[in-house]
Amino acid sequence: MSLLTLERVSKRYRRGRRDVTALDDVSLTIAPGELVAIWGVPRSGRTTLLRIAAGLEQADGGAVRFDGRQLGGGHTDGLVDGIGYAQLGLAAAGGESILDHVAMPLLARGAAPHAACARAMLQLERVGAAGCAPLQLRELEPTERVRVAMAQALVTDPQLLLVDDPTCHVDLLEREAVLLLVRSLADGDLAVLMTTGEAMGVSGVDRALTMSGGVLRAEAAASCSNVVPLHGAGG
Amino acid sequence: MRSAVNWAVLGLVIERPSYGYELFQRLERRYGGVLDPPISQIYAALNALERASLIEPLQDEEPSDEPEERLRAPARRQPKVHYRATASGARAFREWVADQMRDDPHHVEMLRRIAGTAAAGVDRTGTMRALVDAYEHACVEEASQLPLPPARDGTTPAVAAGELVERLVLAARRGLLDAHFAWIAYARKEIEAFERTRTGAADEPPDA
Repeated sequence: MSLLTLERVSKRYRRGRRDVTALDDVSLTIAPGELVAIWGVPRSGRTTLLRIAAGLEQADGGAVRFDGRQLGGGHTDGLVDGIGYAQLGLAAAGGESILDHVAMPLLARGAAPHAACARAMLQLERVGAAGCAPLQLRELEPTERVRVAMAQALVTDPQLLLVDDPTCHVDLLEREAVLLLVRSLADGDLAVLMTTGEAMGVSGVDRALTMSGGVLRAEAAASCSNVVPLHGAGG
Repeated sequence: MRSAVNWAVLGLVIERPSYGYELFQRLERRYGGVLDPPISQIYAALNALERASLIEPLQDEEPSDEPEERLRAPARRQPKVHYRATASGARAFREWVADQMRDDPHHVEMLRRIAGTAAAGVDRTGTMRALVDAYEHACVEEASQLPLPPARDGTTPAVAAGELVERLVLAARRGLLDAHFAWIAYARKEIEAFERTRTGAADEPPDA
């Protein structure tokens, strides 16, 4: 059974007078609890793929289904039920504490403030960023920003977490801790779809794919044996 | 000889005899964005390669196909000096390439196959694409099977040192894979660019 299904999804943008193909006939399924990493350079289409999977953007062609529902796109607040999208580039409203920031998706859905903050605190603890609760976004280290963004995405208790290149701005020595966190989240029954631009990002994942030019290419699943196609493939 | 520009120039001269300005243009097309030397460095590279007897000038044959041009040329500008690779230049270049790839038999194997494909001359880019795809598959599989490094929580100095070594070894393997991913992206762009220049002349499908 699949949680998320992208079926022959395509997406084009206008850039000035040019047509840019961001996604070209992309099909992908994610099972519940699965950790899937997509390796690609910036502008490979990887971010568009995540945004369409999140329901934040509408595909030009193809179908996106999450948990049996058709995603139509245009959910600009990223609040499709059951999907959390870690917004790594978000600027906080002035003066807002990290705790309020993480609680925001719940407050936006009409939760009582004290209950929302209690759940936000739990998520900050879950991602190892409890100490950040009273701080403001501009005071955070890059690795803390990633953790806080994940806490905010997790606060609505989604079944699928989407993370766009979580180690991109993180210090070299902090990266594996971020990836171990992603791994531990997926071990706890949450499905994760992440993008990465480095080999470390696909280490230890359940399934890894590569993307370039808006096309998903190679795919490797962790369970399969060591197959090196270049050997014994014949001249 | 440590300059990458020198080796790149030698490689281009091995492909076909060439002169300074043409080498400058070929190098720009081939390595633009990776190597962007000023033309003076091309001439410096030619001098260094000639001093090391890796290339030699081919003065006599230069404008042979245009006798009239030869008569007029001295009045206009200096004659272009074409260079060709010597046997020791070709050998040195092979050894250098092998040295660059010494850690990586898969890569050497793939480059050998790509070279074989080009030599066979049949459906070149389609087969090259397939080889690059297969290579990417091997790389992503290897990368996904690497473990994440152990945590830095060794209880004794000896355990901590063992973890450190494991982390460094993993980092080296990942570094190689990152280089290969960069190479794959580059190779695809090169093959696409090659196909674009051939479009119209050939009727190969755009995406084999």
